[in-house]
Amino acid sequence: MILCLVGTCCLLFGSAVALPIFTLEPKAGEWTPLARIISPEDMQAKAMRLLEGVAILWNEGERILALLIALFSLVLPTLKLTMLWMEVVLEEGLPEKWALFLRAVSRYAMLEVFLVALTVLLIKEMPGGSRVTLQAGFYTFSASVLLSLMAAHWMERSARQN
Amino acid sequence: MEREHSPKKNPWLIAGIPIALIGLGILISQFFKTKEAPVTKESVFSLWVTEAEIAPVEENNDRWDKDGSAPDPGALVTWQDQVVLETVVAKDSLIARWDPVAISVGDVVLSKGGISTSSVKRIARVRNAGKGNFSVALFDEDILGRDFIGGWTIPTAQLRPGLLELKSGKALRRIALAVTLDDNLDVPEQSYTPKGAVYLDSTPEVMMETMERWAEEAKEELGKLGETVSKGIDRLGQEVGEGIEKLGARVGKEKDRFKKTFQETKEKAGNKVRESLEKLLPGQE
Repeated sequence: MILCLVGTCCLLFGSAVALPIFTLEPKAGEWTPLARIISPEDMQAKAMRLLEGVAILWNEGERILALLIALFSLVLPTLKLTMLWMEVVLEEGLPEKWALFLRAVSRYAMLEVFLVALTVLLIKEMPGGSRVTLQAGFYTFSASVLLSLMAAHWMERSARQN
Repeated sequence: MEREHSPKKNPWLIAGIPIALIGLGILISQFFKTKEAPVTKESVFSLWVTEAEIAPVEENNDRWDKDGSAPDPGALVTWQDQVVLETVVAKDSLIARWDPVAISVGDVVLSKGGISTSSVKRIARVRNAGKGNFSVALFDEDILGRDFIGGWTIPTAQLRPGLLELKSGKALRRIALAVTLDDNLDVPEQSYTPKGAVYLDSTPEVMMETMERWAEEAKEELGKLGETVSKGIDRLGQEVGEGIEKLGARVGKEKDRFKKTFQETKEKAGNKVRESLEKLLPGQE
């Protein structure tokens, strides 16, 4: 049961990485039609994806930000899911230091969702009526994080019972 | 004891499974991506010239412009013996760039503010016909019309969304055309070189009519310029004449004033000398 749950988390996380997290539709208030004429490329709706976002930041020279986002949104969740999987599959369980690492990583499990929510909130407040719409990537990401938390909780409970 | 006999699982192999599942998730998500409409025989491509690089001198080593400035290139795109795009002229450029959108003051004035996105798009629309070609050529604008720089004939079957690039060692060193489907101005990042493209060393016949129109326009412009210049010269002559007259009158006035002042000064000086002599030699007449 827990193995299935972790497997589903992996699939959901994988799709969240490649699917658009949100789309941004730029607007310039009552000047929107004019802005569309002057700069149609900038006024087109843009879909934001995690992998693409990191690549864009890296290419634009925002290396530290790209590394931070890659660490918290790609590397740490992958490590966490891998360790959860190993914890379930390995009969002897994870070595103590790995288990400690897993617990430490779990603390940041909701950080990505929080960051996305914060971004959405900020852009929602932008002038000119720019609109942000959450996309499938956000929901699969959230589902992956929530399911992994549930899996970790169940594993801990069964370990206590044993 | 049973645990010791069970085969030991490779932890790296186990760790690989969730990573493989994440990869599978990425693969699955690709099926949900919105795909661009596939290119078919009915596809309508939007294209515009984005950049052109021109050799610093003509093929006969002459300068492009007599005053030593860089050429003023403008591009023409023809399809099915019709001009489907005429770009604006980029002044003094060896590397010229154009946008797919351009608003002229004339557009704004003539339309009385009613400009739509379609009226400001400077793009050519070409259907993906199996055997057809389209041509793109560059011309250097000068006072007498426009001179052919170079161009390419490209098979329409080679069109696909992206940046179409062609290079040559001739006058038109490089040309880049943005190609999209159905008026989309968002150009995919990939660039490509079409097969079967032929460099044009002379003006294609279909562009001759446009060249003649340019020559006519240039002639009219020259005529207008001549009229303006002759009017200007006439006015200048008139103004110079008037100026000389005014100057003459002023000189005359000044001369009279000078004479008068001179006379007055002379009289005053004479009086003063007389008074002084009277003081020195009183009683003598």
